[in-house]
Amino acid sequence: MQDVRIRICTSAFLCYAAFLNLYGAAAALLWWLLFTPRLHLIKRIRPVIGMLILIGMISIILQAVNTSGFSYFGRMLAILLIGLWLAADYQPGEFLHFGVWLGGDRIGFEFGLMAEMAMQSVVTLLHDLDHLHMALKMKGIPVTIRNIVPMAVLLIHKELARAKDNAELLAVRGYHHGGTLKPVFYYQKMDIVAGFAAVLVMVIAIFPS
Amino acid sequence: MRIVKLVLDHVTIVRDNFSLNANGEFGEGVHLISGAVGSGKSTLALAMAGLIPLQSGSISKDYIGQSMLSFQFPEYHITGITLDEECSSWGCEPEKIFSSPDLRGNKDRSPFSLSRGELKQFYLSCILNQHYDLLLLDEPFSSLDCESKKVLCRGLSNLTTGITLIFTHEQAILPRVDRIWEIVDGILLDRGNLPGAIRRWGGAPSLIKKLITKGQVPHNISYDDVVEAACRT
Repeated sequence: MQDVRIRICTSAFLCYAAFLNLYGAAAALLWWLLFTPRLHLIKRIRPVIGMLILIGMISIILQAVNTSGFSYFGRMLAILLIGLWLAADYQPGEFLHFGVWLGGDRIGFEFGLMAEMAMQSVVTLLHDLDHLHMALKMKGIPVTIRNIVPMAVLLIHKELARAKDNAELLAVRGYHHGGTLKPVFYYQKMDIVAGFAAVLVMVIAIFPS
Repeated sequence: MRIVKLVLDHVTIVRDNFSLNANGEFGEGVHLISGAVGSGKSTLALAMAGLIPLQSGSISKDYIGQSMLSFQFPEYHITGITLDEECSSWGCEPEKIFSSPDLRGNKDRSPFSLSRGELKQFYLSCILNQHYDLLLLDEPFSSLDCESKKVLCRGLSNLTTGITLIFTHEQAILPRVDRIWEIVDGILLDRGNLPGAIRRWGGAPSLIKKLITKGQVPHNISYDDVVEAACRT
């Protein structure tokens, strides 16, 4: 999906539908199967497998405690897969365009810039994580809870250092607030079809019977 | 007799819009792989370490048991909370590493409290204290000052066994090497053994090129060899 406006609205509808009930979650999963590259997404963003395992473990505990684990797993799975699709289709700069389109040159620009920096941090984090895996492999060290602690410290440390660098760079370039930008968007016919289908998913979630 | 050997058989590596072709045989000794920034040195190092897939061709390793890749950015190697833990993760004896004047009394320091240059020095000393059949050093000279580069060159010249591959665009301080390779326009080219390789080395440092035009060809590419050639009468 090329148009970030339709993509963000679609994601919001689908996540809300999945959050409401299992009908919504099932419809959102069906939407995901129909309109996304499915398994290619999971291959591109591998840490999602770890998240799925974590959600699975929490669901088992919930199921044992108050039998709501199945519902939790279904809804979280749908939300996670929709989030994965939103992140995988990301093109640098598009959230800034979306922010300005939605909120104008001042507040919209600020939020767009924040979203842009956050998304680029995720991309860098995934790159860092890949390198850390390689380092562990070279040293012949298995991934254990004990080894994850310094890795997490490293990732947080690097992210904070990068945030400081970015802030200094913006200040040095005279950034105060807002900015001017002419938002540009591209879309395909399929974007509108997928967006309309997402509205139907929300209707199913709100009026399940 | 066991002879270690790394063979690249018509290897093609593709990453995004970039492709690299490599063919050649790396025997025991120190090999320099030079190339401009973005020429594909790190990609080739990752492929040789078996960390990224090949598009086509194959890499075979004869009698290579222990191998190690040193990344350009030392932060990626951190797996311990203290320098002592880091040292152990490399399989080094802490007494050996922390006996150097720069590191004495620093066992309990966090690796994050070191500058990038200090961290690189620390890792390189850990790596050079171990024996590897195949040692891949990606830009080992980056982040180091001149003195540290000379120390590293001395450490590299002490390696008597195994295959050591140095991937670098360093132009000033280099170690003595046995063979020079060069990546040009996405192709790995074998410039041959020293000293003949120096004349065929297109990306040679400007000082070495100047010495060649004057007919004062250095015997090798180390700082001492270049100084000797420049002072030759």
